[in-house]
Amino acid sequence: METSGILEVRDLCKRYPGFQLSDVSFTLPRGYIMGLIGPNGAGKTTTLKLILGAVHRDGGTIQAFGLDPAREGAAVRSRIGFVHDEPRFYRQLTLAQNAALVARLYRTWDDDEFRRLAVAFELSMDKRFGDLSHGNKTKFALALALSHKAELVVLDEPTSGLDPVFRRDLLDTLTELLQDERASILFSTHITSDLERIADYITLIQDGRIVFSQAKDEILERWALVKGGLDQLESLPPDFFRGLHRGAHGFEALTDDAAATRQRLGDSVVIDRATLDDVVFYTTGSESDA
Amino acid sequence: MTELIRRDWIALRRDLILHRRTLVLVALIYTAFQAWFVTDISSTTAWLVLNCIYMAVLTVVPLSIDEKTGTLPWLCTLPVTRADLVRGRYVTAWALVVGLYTVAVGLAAFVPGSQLSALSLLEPDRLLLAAGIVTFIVALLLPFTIRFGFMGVLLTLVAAQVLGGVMLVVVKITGGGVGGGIASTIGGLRHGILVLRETLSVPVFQLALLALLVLINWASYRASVALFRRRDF
Repeated sequence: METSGILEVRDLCKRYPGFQLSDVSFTLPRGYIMGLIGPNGAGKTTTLKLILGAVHRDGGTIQAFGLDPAREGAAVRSRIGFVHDEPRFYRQLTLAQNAALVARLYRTWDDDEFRRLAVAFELSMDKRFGDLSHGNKTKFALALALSHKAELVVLDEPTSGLDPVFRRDLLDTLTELLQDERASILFSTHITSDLERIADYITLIQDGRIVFSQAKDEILERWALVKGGLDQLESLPPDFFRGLHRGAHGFEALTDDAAATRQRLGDSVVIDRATLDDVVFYTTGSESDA
Repeated sequence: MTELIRRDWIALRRDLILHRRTLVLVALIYTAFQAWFVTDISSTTAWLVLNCIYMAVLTVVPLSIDEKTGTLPWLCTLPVTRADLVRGRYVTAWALVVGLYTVAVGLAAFVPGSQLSALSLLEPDRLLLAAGIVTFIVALLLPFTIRFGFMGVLLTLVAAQVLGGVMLVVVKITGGGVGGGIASTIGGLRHGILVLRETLSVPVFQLALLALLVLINWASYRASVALFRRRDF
């Protein structure tokens, strides 16, 4: 029986030597896009692999379409389209041969859709996979992931090797997927501007822990960049801001409550809209001095 | 059951496509080798033993391709279970063995000057002996190949060599006492099999042996699945 979210992750834990994913929780509702952001080594890829059942979890629960990937991995993966940040298919085979191997594993495979995407992505099907550029490898992986009517598309840094024009086209393609509100997308990326364009929810992960998982509009509404003089910092508690950068003549800081900051500091500071890039920069970095 | 067969067929087809070039090369070398072999060896049993060892190793080695190409993490994101992936390896290995054995029988029948009788290679006893040797090697090598890739094959073969070396040293030190013990154990095993065959009727004995071989393959497969499931990708 399906639960309220197409994907529900609760208190997820995974231990590696030197790294631990701890108590990761978030919910992705059906028909929405969630961006998973965070610095390198934060635990984004590990989280995605746990959702796919490719690694074993040490604690917590995952429900994808109401199923547990650890117990019903094949059934879960048949409904997921996955793109790895470094796509690996059989180098010695052509794209057509690779696609034929993959197609047989999906009962919902749509060959017409695959051919349409291959043409749209300008992929030459008689080329060997090993001869493709990184960008074209990603395009091929995307074409496969979007050709079996996946209900959940999981993308691990898919846009990192792509040129800006194709990146924009891809984001449009992903948005089109959500037209009938049947599919959902979980999108891990460093390029936060992509998420500002298409994401509905943002989950920030750092050092294996969730910093927040909220609706994007709520984040952009509540979080703000604050600029002011250094003397103003003296009257504030040390943890008033989520991140702080001191310069020679003033400070720039991030607040997670723009209204409260405005109420407390009034017009003595400048409060600007924060981008997701600002949020990642200030929440994952420590207080710094210029 | 139909779904299981469908998945195994997909896995077998996948491996045949993946290894097509290697398989053509192996088939050519194997055919040339066997063409010479059948004209040079007159003992069917000796031929059978050497050929089965050769076949089993030939089929196991190419199956480590996913380790070499780094495609295992990707395979684990597809809608197949780990057990499906492992079973595909066993199905492919046995399909290749059957294919190679068929080629060898054909060569024994048609190569001019062949000293072997093709019909004798198809006798139930010979087929069981062949299946026994292949089972022993495949059941031993595949779990390590599946867990560690080609390195697993090498490690197993090196371990067997080391074990053999240690045995020789021990035999030397004990003045042949242990060697005699091993020889008498093998002799006793052979005697036991012969007694069992005489006690049971031949067809019952053959069926029991076949069941034992199936059981060993199944145990090896379960061990491989257990080893493979422990891996994180």
